Amino acid sequence: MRQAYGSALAAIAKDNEDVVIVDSDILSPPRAWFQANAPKRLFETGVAEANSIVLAAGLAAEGKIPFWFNMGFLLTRAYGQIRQSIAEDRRNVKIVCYGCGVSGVSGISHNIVEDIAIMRVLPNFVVLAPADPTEVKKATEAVTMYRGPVYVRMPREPPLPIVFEEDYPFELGKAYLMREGKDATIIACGSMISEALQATAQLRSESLDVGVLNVSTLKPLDKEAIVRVARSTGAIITAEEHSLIGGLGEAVSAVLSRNYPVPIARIGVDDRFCESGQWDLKGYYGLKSNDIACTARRILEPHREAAD
Amino acid sequence: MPLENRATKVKSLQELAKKCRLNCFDVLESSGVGHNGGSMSVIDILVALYFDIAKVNPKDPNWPDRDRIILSKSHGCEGLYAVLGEAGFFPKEMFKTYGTYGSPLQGHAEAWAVPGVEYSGGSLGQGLSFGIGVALGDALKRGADLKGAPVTTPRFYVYCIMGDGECHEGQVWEAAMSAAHYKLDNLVAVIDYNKFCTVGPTNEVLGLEPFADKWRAFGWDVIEVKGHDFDELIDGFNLTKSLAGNGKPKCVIAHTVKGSGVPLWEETHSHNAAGDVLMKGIEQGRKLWS
Repeated sequence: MRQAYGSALAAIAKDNEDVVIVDSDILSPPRAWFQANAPKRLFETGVAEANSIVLAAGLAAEGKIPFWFNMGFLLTRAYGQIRQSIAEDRRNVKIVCYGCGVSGVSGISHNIVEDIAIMRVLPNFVVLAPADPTEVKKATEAVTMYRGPVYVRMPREPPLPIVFEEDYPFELGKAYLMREGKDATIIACGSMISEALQATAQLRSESLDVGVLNVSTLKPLDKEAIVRVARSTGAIITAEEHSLIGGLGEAVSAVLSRNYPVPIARIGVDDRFCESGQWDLKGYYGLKSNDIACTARRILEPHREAAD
Repeated sequence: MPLENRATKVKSLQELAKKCRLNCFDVLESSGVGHNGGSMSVIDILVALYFDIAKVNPKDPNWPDRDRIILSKSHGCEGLYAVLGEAGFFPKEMFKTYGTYGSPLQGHAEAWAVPGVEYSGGSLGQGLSFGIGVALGDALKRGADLKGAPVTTPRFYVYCIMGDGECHEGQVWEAAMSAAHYKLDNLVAVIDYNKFCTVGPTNEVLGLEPFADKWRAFGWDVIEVKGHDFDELIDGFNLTKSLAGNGKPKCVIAHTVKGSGVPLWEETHSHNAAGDVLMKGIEQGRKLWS
């Protein structure tokens, strides 16, 4: 996923001289390209995330489009800086993080599943969780054109399967209906999209017709799309590689409880830190396709009984 | 400059500083609460910059070639508003809106609200990093080679005003290393060294000394001046310009008095005040400076 970000940004930076990168002792994916082709547009602060984030804000004030890349947990070192120096003045800084999820070899410190919550709650921020390398590429292009603070999150492991074709019409701020259902809809983001699609295949064999809505923009949330699938299918399962607190599930619940209450089951990490291991650890946290399918069956049980 | 012109200039800056102190009292009075200590200590620095040293245009606050003045110690905002109003960035009628909900004059200076404010502060220690980014943005535009030869002929200077207590923040030193690393010799850190933070004397709370040595050790040129003496302020800032091109960022340590100009506040070194302390101080200040 992060390689897709690196190549996408390199291609953009080739034609857009305002695009710069700010690294804080991290071999960011676009770095090699910048080192070889635009070394003056590569800014390095050493192990100093707070300085690097506000330095990026200063560059943005001078009309540059800085991309700040690091592991997701490290953005928490500069949260106050993000809040004051970027969010408050809507500085045009793009924060791209990986290691946002449950899988990684480096231990609890390095796996973050609270990031959507803390970034969503900041005014003026756009928050994205792309589902696959294609969406990462298109999101990178879109956020370069968008004027304002952006946060993009992606997991570290495992590499995500491609779910989108090259002609996928990605739109910032718009959810995408991957599959239309009749009985329920899985509203998911990021890595959980491919898990959700696999779940729907399982459920189809049990005559349960479940759709999938990709909410890759967590903020601003595409409330219309969420209400539409609730209205058309009557039951929702949310799925995210993120805490159950403050993420997609709570966001969807807030929208539907206000606009169109339906039964909702939420899948996510249940208020805990995530440990080291190799490689896809989602199974330990109930984040695999069969967990989603199981939840879908559970939520649809009363309906099946009624039908019988 | 010829002595008589110099004497005239100093006199006119002193007159302006008097007016700005009176403006500051108006601002503080409107809210009934404010950062009296740190606003009074920074006012003369601001007057020197806005009325002599820095290249600014109150009618065109976004002029691309302007010198950037970043008030990283953003709680000195009452002082900043007093000076910006006097300089004509906004009408002085706005002073009385300080403290009212919806006023552009927020409790800490905000870039989005007030013409002339470069940086939205509040949480300390960030402004120098911002100044570095701004200076780097300029260097990029000029095609300067930052890792090799020293930076030459900047389009503008970046002044970042910080408090002494603010220099307890680790980020200040991250930025100090970074500025020297990038040889940003059009970056001038200005320390309003008023010797007090909120709970007591700065050097008893967390020792900064040897302060000048610290900046030198981080690769900066250091100039120490009396922060309420316009002769020294002018000389100090001009020295930073004459040293431009040597590849070292500049630090002007201005020795100031917290609450300067109001004996009641000077005695107590208060960080902020309300009620009687504020009002009595304003009354005393108005008598002295009118």
